[in-house]
Amino acid sequence: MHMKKNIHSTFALCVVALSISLGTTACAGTSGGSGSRAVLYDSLESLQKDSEAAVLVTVTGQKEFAKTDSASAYVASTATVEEPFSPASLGEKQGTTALAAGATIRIRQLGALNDSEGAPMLQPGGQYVLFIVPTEAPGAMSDEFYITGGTAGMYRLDEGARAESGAFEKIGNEGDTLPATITLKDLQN
Amino acid sequence: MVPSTAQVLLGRHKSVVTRARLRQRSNMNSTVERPARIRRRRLGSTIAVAALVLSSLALGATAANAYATTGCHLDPQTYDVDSAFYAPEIDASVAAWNSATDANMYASASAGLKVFAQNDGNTGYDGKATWQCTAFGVNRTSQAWFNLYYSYPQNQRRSVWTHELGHVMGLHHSGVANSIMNSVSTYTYTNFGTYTPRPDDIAGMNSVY
Repeated sequence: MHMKKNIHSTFALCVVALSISLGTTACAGTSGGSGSRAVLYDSLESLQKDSEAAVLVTVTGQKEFAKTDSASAYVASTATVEEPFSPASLGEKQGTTALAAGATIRIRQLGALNDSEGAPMLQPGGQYVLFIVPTEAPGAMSDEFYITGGTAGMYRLDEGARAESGAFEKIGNEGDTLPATITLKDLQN
Repeated sequence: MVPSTAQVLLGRHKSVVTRARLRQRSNMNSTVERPARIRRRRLGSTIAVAALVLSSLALGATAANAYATTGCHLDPQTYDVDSAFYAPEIDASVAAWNSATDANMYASASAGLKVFAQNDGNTGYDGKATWQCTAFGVNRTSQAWFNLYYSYPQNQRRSVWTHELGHVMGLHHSGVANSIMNSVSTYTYTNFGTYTPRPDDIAGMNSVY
């Protein structure tokens, strides 16, 4: 009797697993995107070296921008800087908004919000540690930044955790070998 | 079971005999139950194995190959180059896929796939591809482009074009280090000189077309 139940539940699990994999593959009216990374990072130090700054931010809003003749589609997330971190190892690039506490900046991410297979996007309301660089894109404003290395410099605080004591988790996996979690203390050293 | 002399001397032979009998009885019981139990186990294992095989087939990956497919193939296999300057490089990348695999892409001004170059700035990506997939797994609208922010020599640009074309044709990133579909084309180009499809890429593309 027990065995029969087990067989039935195994079969049901298999059917569910199969449906999920088939559903994923069938791409039921989905859109996707993928990029070729210019650099992969293997340490926090190498990530910091290529960044203008690391900032603790709260994302407050988001807007999508469609592709134009000269620019790719992107999502701009508005974020409030809670705390900037600028250890000596961070690069110093000119011409960007001063990254002081309370400043509002915009983070550009290539792609669209409904990309089912694209890189993960920032979420409004979320608290993040971001390693950022000036966009250096034609026509971009001084308060606009990219995340260093696409998703490499993107760490999110667990919901309900406190930034001062909580761990920020690595978001996205594009092949970097970076720490899975960091804390603010890691940036204050 | 015959107790040893030492066991008899120590008075343990009774318990040895009893244990042996119990073991025998238990074996007899399991012999009676075995066929039904084995049949059920086999059925369960067969279902699990079948599900695993089907899942991996559905996901487009096999244990022998590191390639993975998006589940979305280009149909018709046409492309439109939106940059006269880079057209020869793009055409060469298309030709590399066509000659090495069963894919057969050809240029058409009305193609749903647009291939171009533009400066997106310091995005961290030297190339990108996007696609819209129908419910039947057909990619009819897509884009593949090189990010001009990165100053690469011609063959390195070709490695990016070939990589991005691989995406819109239906391939995901591959874990094979020298594969053109490795997630970092700079790495494969710098370390292996890759700018054309390698065996894993060829196997992947041929699984789609």
